[in-house]
Amino acid sequence: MRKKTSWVLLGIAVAAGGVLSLSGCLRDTITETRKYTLYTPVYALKSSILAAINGDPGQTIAQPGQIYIKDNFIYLNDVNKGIHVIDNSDPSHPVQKAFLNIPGNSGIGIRGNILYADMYSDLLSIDITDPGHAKVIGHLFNFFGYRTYGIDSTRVIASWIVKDTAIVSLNPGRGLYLAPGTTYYTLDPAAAYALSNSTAQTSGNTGIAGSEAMMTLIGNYLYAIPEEHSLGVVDIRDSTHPTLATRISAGFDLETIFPFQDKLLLGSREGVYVYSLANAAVPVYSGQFQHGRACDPVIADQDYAYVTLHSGTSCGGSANELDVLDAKVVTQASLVKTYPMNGPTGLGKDGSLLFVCDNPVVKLFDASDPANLKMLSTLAVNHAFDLIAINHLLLVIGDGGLYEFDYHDPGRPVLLSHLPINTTKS
Amino acid sequence: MSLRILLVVAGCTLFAGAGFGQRSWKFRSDNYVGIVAGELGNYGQVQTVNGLYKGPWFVGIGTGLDYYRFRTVPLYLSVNRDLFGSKESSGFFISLNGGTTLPWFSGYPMPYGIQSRTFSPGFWGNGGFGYRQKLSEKTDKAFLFSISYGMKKLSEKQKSLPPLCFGCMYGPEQQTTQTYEYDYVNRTFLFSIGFQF
Repeated sequence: MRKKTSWVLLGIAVAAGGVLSLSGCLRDTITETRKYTLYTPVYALKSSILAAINGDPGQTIAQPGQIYIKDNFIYLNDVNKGIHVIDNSDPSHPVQKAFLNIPGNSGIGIRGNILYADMYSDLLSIDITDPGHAKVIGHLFNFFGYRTYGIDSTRVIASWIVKDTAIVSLNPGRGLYLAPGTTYYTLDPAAAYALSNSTAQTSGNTGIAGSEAMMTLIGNYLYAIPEEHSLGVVDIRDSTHPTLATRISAGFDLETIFPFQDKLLLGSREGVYVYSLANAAVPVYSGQFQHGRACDPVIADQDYAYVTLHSGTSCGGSANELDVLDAKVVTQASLVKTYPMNGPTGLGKDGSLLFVCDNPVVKLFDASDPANLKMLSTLAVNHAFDLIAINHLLLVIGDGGLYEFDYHDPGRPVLLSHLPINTTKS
Repeated sequence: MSLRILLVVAGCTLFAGAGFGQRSWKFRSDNYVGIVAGELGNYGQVQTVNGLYKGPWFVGIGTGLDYYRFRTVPLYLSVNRDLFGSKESSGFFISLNGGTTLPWFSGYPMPYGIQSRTFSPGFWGNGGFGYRQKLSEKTDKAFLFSISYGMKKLSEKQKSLPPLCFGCMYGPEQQTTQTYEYDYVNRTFLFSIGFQF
């Protein structure tokens, strides 16, 4: 009996070994169905597009993007469509004065009465002395190389035909890849404003950008990221003929650009590259520093940087927090304290007040002691993603449009106005 | 689908030749730990099947944990039949298991650019043979050894992250959320050992 059992067990063991060794012959099947929204560009002559940028009547806001303020005007990017020019002389009653129909637009910079904007791969200079009769006065074609969609240099994409489609494939690649996170840095708007207007020989003041700026104006030059690995410097002394001063290989996966002290900080997915502006026409690499993961902006004053990290973006990362860093030596920033958040994005600072978009609210902090932030109040702005705070006026961009608040009493900010977006599909 | 048909046909054939009527139905519990081997490699599996037996037949409800590709909880009907009149002693048996498997998704990393992953249950089944080594003639307690071939299906839907708009450096063609759907058909061998009581 025992002998029989031994033979049976031996047989089972052999069978098991044989079967498991044959498992390499098995093949799993994976059917992948990818559902895309297919965009087919509709081209138009560039000359006609440029001629049409003449200050259309104000339009409703479809997809708010970057925000920029100068004097009594707000310039609000409508992603890939153009720029809303809003008279904000009375923040309680902002008036949409004009719309600059610039296809492919995302960035804004203004010096004096000249607005610089991207139109896909082209940089345009537009005279906005009278926004209702704006006029393109100069251009630098093919400056933003990463957005070249043209079939030839005489045409530009005027619109897109949108169509949903699905692609089915069998046994696609199955490797999981976790991307390193990204941190973006930008400057306290007031400090940026002071710096960018401090350089001599300028022919007009600049405005203030939100925490998502992709181009900046300092002195006689416009600095931008023409493609994700390089920094472009454009000489704008003659606004009718913006000319490329230099283009340098500046880092990897560059996304944002902003001035800090006497330097340029280039935000990338790997960290921040620091460039000296001792020679404004030719920035020189002077170091870099790293910080945590996530694609969110950072603001910095003279001593501290404030970083928001949030999960749920293609940059990876799972943290939802506000980090305060000691940035007295910008290339050696060190963590001071971490504050838990819900899902923070854009932020701004005005004096000792810190403002953080933390869906579903905007939080106001007393940042007199960065190691001990005290929350003063919250503002209900759903999906707010960027803001500018200056001189007791807070502008917030969210999915619902543009909101303006008065924070003379930071404990009780007052909603002054709201410009809603147009929720109907165009 | 072919395995499902095979299971049904085999089950009907087995029942057609059944020899019921010798004793009343009695409770039995079969509990296994095993190795699932397939294209991806070797993974663990635990199962417990609890049901009734009469003569050479055993019918029970099974559940457990299956770690192949994704952790899932199978829930299935199990039918076993002893072979060669071995109901009173040690001997071989064949088994058929079929049902569904419920995803137990947590802790898996998100693929690049993906914000959510949702899984849907799918067919789970296997068929094979085993050997029961009774501890003695007077007890139903026994060691179990089993080898089977199985299939585990799952479907997954991934939703991409909304695009980043810091700098809004992307064209509109990159500014929509996309969905990816995957239908997994996993084919495996299972070797397991267990205890019956």
